[in-house]
Amino acid sequence: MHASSSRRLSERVRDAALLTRPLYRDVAGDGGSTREAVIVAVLAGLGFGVATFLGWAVVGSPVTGLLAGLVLEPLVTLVAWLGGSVAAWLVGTRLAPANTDTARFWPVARALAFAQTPNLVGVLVVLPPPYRSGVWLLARLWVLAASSTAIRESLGLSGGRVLVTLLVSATVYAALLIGIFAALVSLGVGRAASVHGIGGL
Amino acid sequence: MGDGLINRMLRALRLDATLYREVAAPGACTEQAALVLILAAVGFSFAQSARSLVSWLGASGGVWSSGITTTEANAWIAMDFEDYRVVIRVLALAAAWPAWAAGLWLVGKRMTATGGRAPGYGQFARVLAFAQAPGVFGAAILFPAMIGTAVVLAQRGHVAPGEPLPLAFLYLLVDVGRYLLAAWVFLGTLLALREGLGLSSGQALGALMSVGAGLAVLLGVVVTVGSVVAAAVGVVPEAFGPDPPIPVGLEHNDAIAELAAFWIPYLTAFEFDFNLGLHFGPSLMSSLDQALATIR
Repeated sequence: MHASSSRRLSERVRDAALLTRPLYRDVAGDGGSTREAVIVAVLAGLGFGVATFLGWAVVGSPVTGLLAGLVLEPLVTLVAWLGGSVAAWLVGTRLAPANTDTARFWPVARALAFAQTPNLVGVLVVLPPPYRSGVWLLARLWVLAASSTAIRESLGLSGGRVLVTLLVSATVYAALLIGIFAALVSLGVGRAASVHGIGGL
Repeated sequence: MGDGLINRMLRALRLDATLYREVAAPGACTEQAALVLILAAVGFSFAQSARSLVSWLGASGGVWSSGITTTEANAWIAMDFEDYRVVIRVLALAAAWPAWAAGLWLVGKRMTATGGRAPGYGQFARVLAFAQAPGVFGAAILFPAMIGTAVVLAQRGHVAPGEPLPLAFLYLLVDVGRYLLAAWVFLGTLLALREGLGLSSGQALGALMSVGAGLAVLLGVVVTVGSVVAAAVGVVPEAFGPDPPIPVGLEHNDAIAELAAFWIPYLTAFEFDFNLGLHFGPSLMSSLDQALATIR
């Protein structure tokens, strides 16, 4: 990746975290930034992932940490992002006022990928309690606020429509995280999968 | 970046009156306001943890007749820092925002000279969220409190009954810090009422005090009646009353607080920063503690 494009990416990540509305409009309308959006979603997953890795490494299981934090966590975050995006797109396009253009899927998905950036603060869950749970909740609520901005800008919604779309999207996102964790537990790898983002604290 | 989040937060911290007018405009920055509120709620939660921490340790020498060991003290602290407590605290603080905003908006709207042209509820709630911005500094209170506590506990293996712990500096830091934050939010809220609803300073103060009193009484009644009903149907072992069980994490061994226990639901809403979550959170947690104790 060139220096200029990585600088652009870091600026976009910063603007996304600061809930800058034009950024969400830009990435929704920029068909060429889908790859960037996927990178952002993976990076966001690595926020909690790095914390998970460090947690396992400290107790002497770096390989488990590598698997759980640096492989599983970003993968599951990707799946949850896609699921949440599909839900937002399906609900949001149906709630959109009749005179607005129907949004396609990828603009919504791109905007929601950038809304994942607050998960980067998840790396701070390595801090001792009560910082740990405060950071965990902060990241989750921050993503919700960013997702609301993403839905507003990419689907052209406002007011209660944003809220309903956000609620459905966030529910699907959380259900996927919890569902995958439950599936991993039933497969006997629950302990390894019990990472900060997937299994909660 | 005049309308950027950081810029707006800095202006909120500086009590910039133009910010409050700006964010009251229709269609402005609802998500930014929500994020400011979330950051402040997390910060206030940390400040409360700091208070609880030094309160526990300060009381430790006197409340346990046999004294306590460092391990025991650490266990008590860990219990107060349990994840669910922090999460409930933050959620309660955030959940109090709409109620607080609704009360102030309803009362303030009747006082304002603009009458029917007063901003809508959503607009005013946004303004009020920015008034909470100083709460973000709560984390800065907790950090030195934790370091200081760790140092004190590391130096002593056992705290004898009645032994004073050298925590005066921590008490001062935590209490002064919390009340500074409270005063800062108080001024921000006054400004929010003035600029958001067009009230005079006197009217804003009147609205703040009357809504604070009204909601404190209302919440007090709800908590008291709720806990009595919960105790009656067996959900929790005992209701709040003149002699409540000492709840983990609250400021136990505070003689005044224990004597005034019945009134605590009414009084504590005034303590802090005019954010009702600080009242609701501890009450809810106390009920949860009792319920959990019953289950276990």
